[in-house]
This record gives sequence, C-alpha cells and structure tokens, in this order.
Amino acid sequence: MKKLKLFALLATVALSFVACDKIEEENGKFVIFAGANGTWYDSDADIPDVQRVFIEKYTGVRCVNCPFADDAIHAASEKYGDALVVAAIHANNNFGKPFGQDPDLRTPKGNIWFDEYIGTTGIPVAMINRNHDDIFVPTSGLDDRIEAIINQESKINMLVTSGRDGDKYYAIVRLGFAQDVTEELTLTLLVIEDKIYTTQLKLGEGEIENYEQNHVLRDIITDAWGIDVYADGKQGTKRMVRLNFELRNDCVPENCHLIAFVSDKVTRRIINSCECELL
Amino acid sequence: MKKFILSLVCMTIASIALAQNAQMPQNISIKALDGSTVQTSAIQNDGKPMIISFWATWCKPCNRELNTIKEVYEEWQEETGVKLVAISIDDARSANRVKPWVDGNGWEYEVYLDPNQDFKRAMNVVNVPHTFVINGKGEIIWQHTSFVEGSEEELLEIVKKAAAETDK
Amino acid sequence: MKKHITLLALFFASIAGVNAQGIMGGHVTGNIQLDGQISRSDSIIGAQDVPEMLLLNSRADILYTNGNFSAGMRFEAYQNPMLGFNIKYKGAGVANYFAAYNGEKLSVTAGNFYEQFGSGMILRAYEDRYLGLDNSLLGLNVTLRPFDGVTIKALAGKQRYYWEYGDGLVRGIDGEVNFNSIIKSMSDSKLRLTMGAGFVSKYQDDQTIVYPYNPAYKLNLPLNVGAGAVRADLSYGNWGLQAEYAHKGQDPSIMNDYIYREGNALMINATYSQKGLSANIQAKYVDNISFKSVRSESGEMLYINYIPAITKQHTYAFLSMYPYATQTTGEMGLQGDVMYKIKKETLLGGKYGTDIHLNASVITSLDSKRIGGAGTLGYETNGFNPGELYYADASLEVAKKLSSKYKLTCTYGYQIFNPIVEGHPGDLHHNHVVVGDLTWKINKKNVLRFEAEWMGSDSKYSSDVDDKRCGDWIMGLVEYNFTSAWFVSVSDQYAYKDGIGNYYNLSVGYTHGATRFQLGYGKQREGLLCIGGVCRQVPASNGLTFSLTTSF
Repeated sequence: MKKLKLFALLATVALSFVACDKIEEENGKFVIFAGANGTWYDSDADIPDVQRVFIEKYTGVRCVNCPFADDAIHAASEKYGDALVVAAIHANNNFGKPFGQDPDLRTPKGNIWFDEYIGTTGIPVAMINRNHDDIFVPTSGLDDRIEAIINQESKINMLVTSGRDGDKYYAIVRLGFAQDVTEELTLTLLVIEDKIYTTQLKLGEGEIENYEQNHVLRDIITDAWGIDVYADGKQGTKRMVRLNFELRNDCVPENCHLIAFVSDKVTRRIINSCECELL
Repeated sequence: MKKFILSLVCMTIASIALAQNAQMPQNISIKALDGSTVQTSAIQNDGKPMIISFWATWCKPCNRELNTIKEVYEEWQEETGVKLVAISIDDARSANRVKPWVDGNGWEYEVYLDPNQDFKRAMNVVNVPHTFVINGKGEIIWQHTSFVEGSEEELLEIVKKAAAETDK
Repeated sequence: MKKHITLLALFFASIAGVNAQGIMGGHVTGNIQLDGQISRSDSIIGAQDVPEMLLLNSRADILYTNGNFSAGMRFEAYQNPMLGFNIKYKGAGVANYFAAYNGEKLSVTAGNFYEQFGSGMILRAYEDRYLGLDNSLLGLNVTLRPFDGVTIKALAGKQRYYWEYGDGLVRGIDGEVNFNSIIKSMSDSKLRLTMGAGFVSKYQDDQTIVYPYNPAYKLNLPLNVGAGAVRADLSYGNWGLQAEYAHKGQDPSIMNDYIYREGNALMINATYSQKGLSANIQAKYVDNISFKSVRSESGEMLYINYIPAITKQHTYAFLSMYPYATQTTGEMGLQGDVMYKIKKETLLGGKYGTDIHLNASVITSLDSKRIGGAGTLGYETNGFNPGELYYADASLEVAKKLSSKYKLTCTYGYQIFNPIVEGHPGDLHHNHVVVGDLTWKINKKNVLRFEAEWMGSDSKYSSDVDDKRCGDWIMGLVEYNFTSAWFVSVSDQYAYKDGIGNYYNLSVGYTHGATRFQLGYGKQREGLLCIGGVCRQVPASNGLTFSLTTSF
C-alpha cells in the first residue's frame, strides 16, 4: 500500500508539470477579434438593445459647489443604474488647480471640450448626451432630462469590451444599427478612473482631505472629437473596431473603466454610449 | 556526402575490426503476453543456447518459420537444450492478437511483444523474419534474415555447435 | 541536424579506435539499408519520368554498447528521395543521435528517442522506414522502475520533421502497475492484471489563424493541448480482456478543420484461446482524436499518437489492394477473428491437420450532425450510433499440408470499400477475391511456390475518377528458392475486364546471414502503402528497383 501511495504521489507531482488549456465558448465560437487597430469590420455578436444616458459633468477640486453636483449625480446613478454613463471632467485654470502634492486631474483633451462648450461659464455644469443647448447646473433637474432620453427607442446599440495583449490594452467597440441612420458618425473612447483621493473644497466644510473623486476622465483614446465610423447606417448593420492603447502609468488599472460613445459628426450630439471594466 | 561515405566506411571498418561477438542487449523493456513489462535480461536459458526470432502475425514467412520449427522443436530441445524466444513486433493494430495467435498455432515458445520495436532497434533488425542464435554466454553468434522451407536445417547446425561449445 | 555529421563521426571513430585497442570494451553494431530506383514514364499506369535517372535512399544505424551504456546515431541520405517519399527528405546527414543509460531501475535517453504509452493512443514516437515516417522525439526520456511491477515514464521533446524539428513541444508522463508483481498473494494467480494511465501535453506558440467566416476574428487557440488515457489488461486462464480509453482536450488543427470539439477514443478487445483454437473480438470508437504536435501540419509527420486500423492486415496483393486507414476524425468498428486447427488423423484434418482462419470486420462513420466549421464545436454525435459504411470485409483462409512436399493455402475474401475514406466520394466497391498458394518443397535445397489470385469487382475504371484499381483482375506468381540464399520470382497482375493496367515484375534476391540483396524489374502500382494503421500514397513506377540491407 505504501508503494501505491508513493506511486500516486509521484504521478500527481509529475502531472502538475503538464498542462492543457480550455478555451471558453462565446456565442458558439472560439474566436478572438484580431482586426487591425482603428479599422472597421462587420460584427456578428449580439449587442444588447439599450438606450443609455451620457452625463458629462465639469468640475474642479477648488470648486466649492461641485461636491453637491457629485451628490446629485450619485443619487441619479443609484436610481438609473447602468443606464447612466458618467464622466467627470476636471477643468478650469482656477477651480481645477490641484492642491499641494495632489495629482492634476485635468487633461489636455478634456480641456478641449471645456474650452469649446463651457469656457467662462462657471462650474459645476453638465450636459446630457452633449446637448449644448442645455448646459445646466446638475444639482437639480437631472431626472426629467434622463427620463426624456431613456424612454426613447435606441437608434444605435453599443457594446464595449476590453482585453490585453501582453502589456498593451485594447478595446473592441461594437455598434448595432437598430434604425436607419443617415448622419455621419464619430466614435469616442474614454478612460475613466474611480477612487482618486484628493483635497476638495466644499461650501460650508472648507478643505476636505481625501475626498473620493469618481468618474474622473483620465484620457481620451481617440481624438477629442472621436474617430470616423465606417458604416452604411442601414438598420441591422453591425460594425466593430479595435482600438489599442496604453494606460497612463499613474492610473490604477483595477479602478479604471472605459466609456465609448457614438455621436453625430456635425452636431456632436451623442446618440448612445456604453461602458466596461478594464480587463 | 563525401563525409557521409567516409564516416560509413570508417564505421564499417571499425566494426569489422571488433570481430568479437556482441552481447544481447539487457534492460530493454518488452512486454510479456499477460501485458506486464519485463526487461530483456529476463530472456535466459541457464547457459544453454537460445534462438531469438523476430516475427509478426502479418508476416507469412515468419509464420512458416515458426510453424516449421514447431514440428521439430521437441527434438531440438532434447538434443541441444535450446530455447526459442519469439519476439513479436506487432504494433497496437495486432498486438492483442498475438496471444490467441500463439495458442491457436500451438506454439510452445516463449513469446514477448516489442510493440514499439525498441528491442528490434537494439538488435539492428531491419526486416522480419530475423533470427539470432545466442550462445550460453549471451553472445550473438549468428543471425539470418528471411526464411524458406529447409533453412531450419542450417539453424539447427549452428545451435548444435553452440550447444557443444557450452558443454566443453 | 546535418552540421553535426563531422562531429559525431569523429566521436564514433574515436570510440571505435579506442575500442579496437581493447581499452574500453563494448561493441559497435549497426545496420545499413540502401534502396534505389530507376523509373521511366508509363502513361497507362501513370508513372512519371524521373529526370535525375537514379533515386537513392540510404541509411545506416550505428550503435555503440558498453554494459548499460549505449550511444547511437543514424546517417540518412536521400539523393534524391525515391518516388513516394516526401521531397523534403532530400539531402544527407545525421538524422538521429542519442546516448542512453539502461539500468535495472532507471533508464535515461538523451537525444532522439522512441517511446510508446500503452497502445499508443495518446503517445507513440516511432518510425517506419518503408513509409518514410519518423516521429522520434529529440529531448529527454526517463523510465523509472522503482520496484518490480511498476514502471513510470516521463519525457519531453520536439518531434522530427524531415531534416528539422517541429515547433511543438511534447511532454508526457505514464505509469503502469502489474498487480501480480506488487501484490504477493496474486503472484501465482490465474488472474493477471496490469493497469496504466498516461498524460501527454503539447505546447505550441500562438499563431494567427483567421476565422474563415469573418476575417476580423482569429481563432482563440489553446497553446497547451492535453490528452490522457487509462488502460487495463486483464486475463484469466484462457480468457483475456484489454481496454483503453483516451480523451483529448480542445485541439483545433488542420486535421479536424480547426474545430474545438474534444476528442475521445475507446478500444476494447476480448480473447479466448486454447491450444488449436483462438478467437478474439475487438471494438473501436474514435472521435476527433488526431493529435499532432504542430497544428498546421497535414502530412504524415508530427503525429503524437497512433490509432491503428482494426481491420486485418492482409498480405496477398488483391486482398490488400484496398487497405483501410483509420479515420482519426471519427469512426467506429468491430472486428472478429477465429483460428481453428482441425486435428491430425481426422476426416477433415488428414495426416497433418488443417488450419482454418476466419476474419471479419466492419467500420462505419459516426452518426453526427454538423454544427459549424472552424472555430466552433464542429459537430455533435448521436451516442454510439453508426453512420455510413466505410469498410467491411470477411475472409476465410484454409491452410493444409497435403504431404511432406506440398502445402496449400486457399483464401476467399469479400470486401466493401467506400472511397470516401481516401477523400473522394463515390460508389461503394464490392470485391470478391480468391487466392490459391501452393508451396512445393522439391527437396532440401529447392522450393517452389505458386500463387494465383483473382479479384472480381463491381467497379469500373473511368478516366474521371482515375482509380487504377477498378475492374476485374487476375494475377499469377511463381517463386523459386534455392536453399535459403537465392530466390527468383516472376509475377503479373492483369486487369482483364473493366480496368486498365498490366503490372509485371521480376525479382531476384540473395541472402547471406543478415545481409540481403534484392533486384526487381517491372511495374509498381500506384496506391496506398499501409503498414500498421498508417498509410502513404505511393506513385506508380516503371523500371528497376534494388535494395540492400545488412546488420552487423
């Protein structure tokens, strides 16, 4: 019996040296997207039919009213769940300037957006689906604006997934045309980071140390105004693109996620958006 | 190519120079008919000569050889004390048929399987049938490839000589 | 591989040199084989012209043994490769080298080695020189026999690919226990039991294989592919049972059209035998079990495992004209075999007894339903239900020694052959074959052998399909042996109805000890040359062939 035990032990040890991989099936196939960076291809994956709401909120660490906007948006997130896609853009020369050793949460591409639409308007302000005719202070009136959009039929459905090839990240964005779309379109991909702790001014409380900043825009992978979408726009068309990128080395990958949105190239109004964890 | 021929010639000369008899290789794994693994060192005949015959179920001349010797095997054993060890080189296709084959043919030989031909390679067997005579000291003293009716007589002569040497 | 030639030649020459002076002891043994061919074109049988006139395959194995230590190498030269051998063999050099220690409890081989786990369903590194096949692994092979009745093997290496090595890394482990040896009370038992299990894993780097239905995707390839097998060999007195089951993980490859279905294979064999009577029945189930170390290799090389055909390996020309090769993508079959010896001095047995050998087999495809192509699970099977017929044959052989001078063997065979197993769909061929084989021992030195064969087939030759085996055939052969040294044989195969071709052949051979020389002139049919379960396409040839083999 002792001999048999020894034999079993030897066999177990030896077996651990040899391996076999198991590939998981997705939609009946064992494939990975291998398109060239930035090239559009036909897609055959299922894309959930959801109309989401993209809120871009302009904020700053020295803006005393901004935390109130954070609270309001947080409440809306709780209420609308995944239907709400939020990006917090830190901007403004005065209100966005970091305290002491804190990281500067402003980004060059975020500043392009800020300069285009907000400029000298005070913060906090927000747009929903980049409706620049309705720039508002997001401490109230959120629910009506959100519901006006999520009750619409989705024109273009979206799905974003992420992956990693060695030390390089990539995102795959899929578009599914639920209706005919004739406008020229662009796609924009954002890197968002949560749980960044900085000092934040707040009315009535002064300097708050270790204030949790969420939804912080860290990078725009595409051009600030997106890249062109190559699709004929007919109902039923499904297209996808792979976008390779490097993560800023001051980002914590576990706290990051991606947002993709598709917008009208001329009006820059956002048609739909989606987000995913960074794998 | 020149080097190849040169080396070949070199080898051949070297091997001829070593005119002493090679030993039958030991510690090569073969299979007994019950499926267990044994070493070629188990092939022994107490200092008496042995015939080692490489064969296969699908090889007609091999079967003719073993069937021919079967008729005279008892006489040979009495006369010389020889033992015939048949090594089947049948692979997985027909290895399972070897035991029934041996029983069905009524062979009284000691039979082993060499399914991946390790022993065959060690003995430099190219084609079957290939028959060796091993003397009492375990040396290969004679080998022959192919079989025709009548050539068993020559085999017996060699075995007799080997047996006589052992008795001395 | 070729560049090692000088180095190794020096190494061996020095061993041989020292050895000849008797300092080291040990022995050098080896074998040499030389095959040559001069072929001329023949439009009827389809033989091609050979521009280089003479084709020559040669090899020499040199083996040095000293006690438990051995070292060996093999020279091979193909200048140029004979018809039917892959042109990638062209060249000369050291194809193979190794050093080995074979002790009682431990064997280690470094270099090229051959190995087999169980019956080879998950691993068999072997060679077949007549098929131009060599799956030897270059690496390390260790066998441990810690105590009587237990064998453990472990290996790692890369497989030979003509003059190179395949990219795939093969690693394996196998253990076998003989219960009669390790359990004392069983040592003399009538019940004999050996069990074993093995696991093999191959690793190959990722590569881009485009998903054919959407070029934006590539296949998500498993880099490590594992296969495991369990086996048992059980016997009790006259009864025996052998079984082996193998399972293979996802292994998309060119052999299975890059599908992700896992593979299974099962073989069961039951035997009964007593003196003068034996029977066995064998069942086989193979589903997507092709296992190669390089996923894009479609040829005869780089197989890790070996799944033999269970059909009888016929030796007569017409019975083996349609050989069956295992369909590793999926097949199932049954084979039965009975040998009976009618006793001497009985009515049917006569003075010397009569041997009767009956064999039958049937092989079908799996009953399966296609799901998709590359990048999917491929297909689903319907349990053990058989699909379409691939092959069936039945044969009866009666051998009888008529007197001390004459021995007669008569064989009748019937076979149904589905050409789909050779890759081209068509009508089933139904063939009847009759063979008569008479040996006349004139005296101690002179032996004559006559063979007559007939094959009747419902197949007809047509130039569209160009299967030169079609039609009805007759064949005659006369072989004369003078002692065991000389033989001469003349034969002719002729399609007398619905076929084409006339294949005549004249051969002369000389054997002395372990040296054999053979010279042949005539026409060789194109077709499959099958040894074991593996087949290779051999083109037609017309002309002279010669062969020299020697062992020393």
